[in-house]
Amino acid sequence: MNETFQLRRFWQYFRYDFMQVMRSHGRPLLLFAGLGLFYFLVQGLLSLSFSGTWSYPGQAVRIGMFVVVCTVMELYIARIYGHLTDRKAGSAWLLVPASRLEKYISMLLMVLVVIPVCVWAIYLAVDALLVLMFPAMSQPVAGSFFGGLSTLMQSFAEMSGSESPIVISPAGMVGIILLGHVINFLFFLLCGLCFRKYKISGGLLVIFILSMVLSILSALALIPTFQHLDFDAGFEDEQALRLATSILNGFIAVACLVAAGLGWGVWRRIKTLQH
Amino acid sequence: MINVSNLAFSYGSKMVLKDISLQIREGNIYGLLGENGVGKTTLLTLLCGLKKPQIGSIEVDGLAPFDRQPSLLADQYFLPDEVAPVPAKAEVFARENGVFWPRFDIEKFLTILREFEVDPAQRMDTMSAGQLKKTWISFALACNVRHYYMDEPTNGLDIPSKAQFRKAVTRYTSEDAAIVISTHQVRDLENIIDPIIILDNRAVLVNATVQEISEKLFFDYGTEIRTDALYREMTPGGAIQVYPNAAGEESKVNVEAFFNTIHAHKELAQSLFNR
Repeated sequence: MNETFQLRRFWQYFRYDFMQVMRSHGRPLLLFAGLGLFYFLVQGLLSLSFSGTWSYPGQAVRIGMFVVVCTVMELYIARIYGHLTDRKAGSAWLLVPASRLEKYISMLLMVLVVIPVCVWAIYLAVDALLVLMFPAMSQPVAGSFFGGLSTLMQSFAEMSGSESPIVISPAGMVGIILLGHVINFLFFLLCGLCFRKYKISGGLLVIFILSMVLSILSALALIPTFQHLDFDAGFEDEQALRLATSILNGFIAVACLVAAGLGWGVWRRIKTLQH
Repeated sequence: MINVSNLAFSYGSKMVLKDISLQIREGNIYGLLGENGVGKTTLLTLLCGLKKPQIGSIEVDGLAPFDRQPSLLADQYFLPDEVAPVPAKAEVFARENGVFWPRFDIEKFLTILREFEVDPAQRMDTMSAGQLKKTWISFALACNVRHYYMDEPTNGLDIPSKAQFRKAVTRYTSEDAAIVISTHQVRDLENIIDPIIILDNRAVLVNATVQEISEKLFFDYGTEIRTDALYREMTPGGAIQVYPNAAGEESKVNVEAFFNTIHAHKELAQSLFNR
């Protein structure tokens, strides 16, 4: 028997894991995904009661709502596998006959792919369906997201010139956004596995402290460089362009390292968890 | 076979187990006895791999339990004192979880559950503590593994269920299974446990079969009070007295009286049973 990874066993475990997560957290996740529809109904009914006409939520409100859903889902990740720190449920999980690697990969797949994709897809599909049924709601959230991204890219290109190294492709921008989500998901997953109580508030506190420290450190590191720049020249200044590009590349490299570090932290926690 | 060599474990500065060495052989139901806080649960969690030995080693069929290799996990079951209320029907829970234990038998699970008078269609998170315990016991026995570790399995069971438990353990476990049962309820289990391991003061005080105990100690259930008794407990019909079996007579071992005798005469216990 392969003790590290066996495809059949992994698939068996992944199905089991999926069922456990859906059974314990399916309802809250469905609630997040259906928040747009809920808001649509509440606003419409309130409007109908007070003004006698059905009013539709505007595009900005729906985009804001989507951002709220994404944020709440990221925080909620801390609870998905949070039961592993509980003696009763955690012991049972540790002793399920699957390897640590299989449990780890299944956990990452659930947290980074299955849960977000399901919630996002349901939210955006419901929104698109509502727009289709009620054309007065203008563009769906998914359309406005990609439209906004392409406008942003266009603005960058206009500001810096077509040959500028700062231009990022829309795919690159989506990649950066997704990397940010991966970091947030892994961070809150790790918080869920490390904190026995106050998993979400503990995670938020750690983020607050880390942000403070990192802001101070990065400001201290960048101030000497910025002092020599001519900001009045904007993006036409070659030095500023090079710096902006390096900062962006540096940010991506650091983000990749942070994601890898968080992934390693989760693995380490699973490997050493004792009850 | 399970080999424990020079095992030590502490919680912070509090040493719980010190220099424990013992062998657990298949085909026996071991009773693990001891006062509160002597490390019975810790020893069980070390045996099943929920904890890592700090000093010494444990080997189960040549494998270290803390490595939690799937082949070993698939051949053992740890039943904790407190079990988790799973948000699923008992039968669904058993079918979903049973796939990880190659010899799991759903029919056996349903049979044992019916004998315990628990409805397989009932959700586990709506069960009483006793019903929940019976469901987990049924699941454990249906896994058909070779190593069972049970922590206070009769806690929370009503009187008929305790008898049912004894019957189920002897009837539904295989001849080559090694079962370790930690308990304070010795009267519940004294007819099935043999050998008996008594932990005291972080070490194994006694590890002896019932045969060895009866060869070395005589359990007198008569009415005549003997002054040389190591332990005496008055009962409505007379007394239980324990004294050295100098004449080599046969008597029925009373596990509770034996435990109290050993507890009162630790040096004698070591000289009698130290192997």
